[in-house]
Amino acid sequence: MSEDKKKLELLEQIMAIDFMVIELNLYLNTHPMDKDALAKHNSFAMQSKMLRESYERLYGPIAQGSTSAYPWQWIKEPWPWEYEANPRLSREGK
Amino acid sequence: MADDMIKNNSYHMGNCIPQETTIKDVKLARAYVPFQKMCSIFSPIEALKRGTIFPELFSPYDNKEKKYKSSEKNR
Amino acid sequence: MWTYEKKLQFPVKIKNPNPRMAKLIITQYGGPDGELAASLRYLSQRFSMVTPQAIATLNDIGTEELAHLEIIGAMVSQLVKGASLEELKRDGLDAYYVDHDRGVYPQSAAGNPFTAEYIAVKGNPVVDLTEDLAAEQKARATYEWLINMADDPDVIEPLKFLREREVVHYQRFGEALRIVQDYLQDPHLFVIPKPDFMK
Repeated sequence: MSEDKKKLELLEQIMAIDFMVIELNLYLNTHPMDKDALAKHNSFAMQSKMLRESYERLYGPIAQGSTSAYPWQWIKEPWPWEYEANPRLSREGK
Repeated sequence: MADDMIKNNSYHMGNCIPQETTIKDVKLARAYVPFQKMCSIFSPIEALKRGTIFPELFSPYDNKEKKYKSSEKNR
Repeated sequence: MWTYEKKLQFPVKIKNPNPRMAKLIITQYGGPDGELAASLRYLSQRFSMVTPQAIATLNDIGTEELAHLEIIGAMVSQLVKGASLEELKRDGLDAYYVDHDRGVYPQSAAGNPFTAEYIAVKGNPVVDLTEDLAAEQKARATYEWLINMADDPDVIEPLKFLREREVVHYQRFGEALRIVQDYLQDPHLFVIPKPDFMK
C-alpha cells in the first residue's frame, strides 16, 4: 500500500499549504495593505498550485473543474470524510 | 486563555510587536478588539496542527477543568 | 459561488467507534452554536454588510465554516461506523438510530433539530458583527466542553483545531467591527483605511 502512503503524504502537504493560504487570506481581508502578508500569501498560493498539479497528475482531480482521465475520476472513492482518505498528521515536535 | 496568549507574544522577531498596544479615540458604548499585526508565522505542518499560523493567536487548551473536577467537591 | 475540493481542511482519522462522543459532537453539526449555524449566519449577514473588508470577512469565514461542518460530519460518521446496535443503545443513540440509522442529521446534543432561530440577521452592520463575536465565543466554549468529555487523541486533535479557529475568527470579526465603526463615523474619509500601525 505504498502508493496510498505517498498519496496521503502529498495530501497532507497540500492541506498544510492550503491552510497557510486561507489564514493569510483572512488576515489580508482586514489588513489589505500588509505587503509582507500579501507576498507570503502569493508564495504559498503558488506552492499549492504546484502541489495540486502533482497530485492530480497521479491521483485524479482534487477540485471541480480539473481535467480527468477515463473513466471519470471525480467519483472515485474514498471520499474525504472516510477514514482511509485522511493522513495521520506527522508528529514532528509540538 | 489571555495569559497563554500574552506568553506567546514573546515569540516575535526583534522589535516586531504582533498587535497595536494603544487604541486612539476610544468612545463609550463601543467594543474595541486590538488589531493584530503579522510578525512571524509557524511552518505549514506546525500551523495546521495548532489551528493557526500566528503564534500570538495560538491559545493552547489543556483540559484544565478536567484536571480540577474532582477537587472542586472539597470546597 | 462555491466549488468543492476533495479534501478535509483538517484530517479526521478515528479508529475506534464511540457513539457517546458522536451524540455530543453532533451538536456542532446542527446545534445552536454549531458550524451550520455559523456558516448560515455569516453567509446571510454578508448581503447587508458594509465596507469591503467586513464583507470579505463574512464571506470567507462563512465559507470556512462549511468546511468545519464537513469535519464534524466526518467525525460523527466515523464515530458510529462499526458500532454495534448494543453499543448504540448503551450510549443513548438508540432513539437516533431508529430515526436516522448511522446517518448524520443536523440536531443538537439534546436532540433538537436545527432551526434558523439559532441565528440572527439584524441587517445592521454593528449589530451583526457583535452577534458574530458572541457566536465565536460560544462555539469556542462548546469545543472546550467537548474536549473535556473526550479521551481519544484521534477525537481531541480535530476538536482542538476547530476550537483554535474560533479564537482566530473572533479576532477577525473584532477587526472587522473596528473597520465598520470607523467607516460609520466618517464615511467620506473612507477609501481603504490605513491606520498608522498598519504601515
